[in-house]
Amino acid sequence: MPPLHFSFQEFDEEIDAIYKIARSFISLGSFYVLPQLRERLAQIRTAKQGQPFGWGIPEGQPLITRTSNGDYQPDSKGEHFIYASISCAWEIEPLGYHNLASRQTRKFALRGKASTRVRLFEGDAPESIRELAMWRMEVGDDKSPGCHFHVQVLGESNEPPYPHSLPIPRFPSLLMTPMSVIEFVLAELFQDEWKMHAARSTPEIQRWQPIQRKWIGGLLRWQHDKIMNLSGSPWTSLKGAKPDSDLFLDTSPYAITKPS
Amino acid sequence: MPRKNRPHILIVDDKPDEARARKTEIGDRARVEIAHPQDLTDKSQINKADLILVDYRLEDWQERDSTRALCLKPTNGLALASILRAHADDKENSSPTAIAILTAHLKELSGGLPPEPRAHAIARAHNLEWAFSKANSQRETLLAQQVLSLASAVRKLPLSWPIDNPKKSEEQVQELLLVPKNAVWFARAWEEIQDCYPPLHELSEWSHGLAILRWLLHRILPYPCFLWDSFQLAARLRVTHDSLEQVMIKDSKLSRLFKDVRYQGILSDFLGTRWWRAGVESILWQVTEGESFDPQETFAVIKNYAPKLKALNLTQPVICLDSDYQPVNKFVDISEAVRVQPDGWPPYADQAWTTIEMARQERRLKALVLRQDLSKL
Repeated sequence: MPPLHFSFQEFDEEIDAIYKIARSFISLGSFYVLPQLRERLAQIRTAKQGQPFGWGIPEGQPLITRTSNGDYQPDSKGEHFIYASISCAWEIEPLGYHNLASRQTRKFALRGKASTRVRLFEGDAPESIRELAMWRMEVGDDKSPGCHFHVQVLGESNEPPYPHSLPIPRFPSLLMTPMSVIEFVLAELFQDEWKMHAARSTPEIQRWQPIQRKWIGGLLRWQHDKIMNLSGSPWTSLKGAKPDSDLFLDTSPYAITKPS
Repeated sequence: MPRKNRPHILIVDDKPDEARARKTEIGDRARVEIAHPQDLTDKSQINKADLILVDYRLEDWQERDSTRALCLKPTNGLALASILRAHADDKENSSPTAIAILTAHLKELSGGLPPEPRAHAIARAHNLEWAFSKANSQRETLLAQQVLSLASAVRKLPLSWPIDNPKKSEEQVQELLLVPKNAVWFARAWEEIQDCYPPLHELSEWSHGLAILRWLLHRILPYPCFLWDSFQLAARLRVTHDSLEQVMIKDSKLSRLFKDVRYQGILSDFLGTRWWRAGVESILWQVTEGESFDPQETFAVIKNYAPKLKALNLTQPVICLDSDYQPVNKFVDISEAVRVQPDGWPPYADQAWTTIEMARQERRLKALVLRQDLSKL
């Protein structure tokens, strides 16, 4: 299976848009995390083809949200005061020429790992901080048994539940970029507030919307196609399906660039 | 400088003798003409000037004082500057002319706030290219350098702007800013410039050249945008500002490392040294072999270029403004700072910060703290 390709420009826009949309939901100490993520992508964008790069938000300098004071339940009725810590690690390789003329259209390929880790914590004093949950939103490779776009819970320590030796289940997911995951987390932590916030028509939302529509819409169309053209069980077919490398590019037969 | 490229400066002062010291300081680097306002009778005096410096207080002007028609009585240099602007904008003028005020009383125009840090805001508010403060003798050299820098920048403006050809218009701006076209970071730098909304598209041919100049003077150079000053560079390298300045002032290994990313375009010597942000990031990426966002790795590499640099022991250093909107020499960690929104701070500029301590103490600063950060005070 050829690796998935993505547009540098769309990732760049996506980071900048979520940075501006989510600013008031991010802890002040993480103010520079997304600009740095964007800058790192910009540097890789100017590199020659042929060398893979690690790109992401280091585990040691994660993006921290502000605290949700029970806002993860409607009407802020949740019993915990929690915040999320988000990090990610992708291995990518810039493709094609790195001259000025090809800059706007330049792509990168996913060469290995593509994982975004979310941790939920409770407490503010160092001695009282308690991890309440952890999951990873990942993109599989050609060897992974599926689903290709999936969520794994825990799986990093040897202790149950979900010990490292048990890499299942892989729950299907519609979100794959770290930026999409950030929105997912904020929408979970701040149920009512985020709903209102993301429903506004601001310039940033207007930039965010077509990119997300393209990611999610392309994936849904592709999944729809897989279950419509199969012999056997739809779920098993979907589970084993591997996307073409251009699934998220304008050249894909599943591409959605405008609202229908 | 070849003679024909020497800028032409017209100083309009009610006390011409006082202006002669300025002419002496500038020397033969520019053609300097000094005129009493009453003696400005020939329009070519205005048309040939790249920069007109107008004195703010006009007290010795008998002819004006004796006339009864109020509209013929410009009460101060600002009023006179407006009249001169109208003449300079006349279609007969074949080249752009910048107009600046020169005064020992800049404070009168700054609403009681310290005037020098706000020269760009004063100029912007009064339809001027700049507001110069008459300097004491120690700073006369700096003033002369700034005046020359501004006049030379006007001189470099193209005589025509291809306003119906956006591509060419962009190229002209790139030439004025001397964006290094062969650098690997050129495209990134140009994107960052575009993010700061250069006046490329909707201005008339005549205002165009000056509009670019004003954009640089009023909206770019005073703020952290695509060009970085020594504070931003020090914070990025995570070293103290003092130790960086000491290293960069000399011909050191570190200053040579960043030599090619130093801003060299128009007005590059107007407000001190600037570096292209995209260029700095590109160099750091190269020298750290892709680890430029690891603070320890970055400092370890940079230290090889300048062993005397002093590291900042801060997790995430930020540059804080004091109540005069001036950067505080000592950086603080982001956990000890709050975001502020000073009046006129461009939306595309990096976030402005102040320390929690200063915000608590200074009422003026506290009023600027973003609503979301008030709980930290």
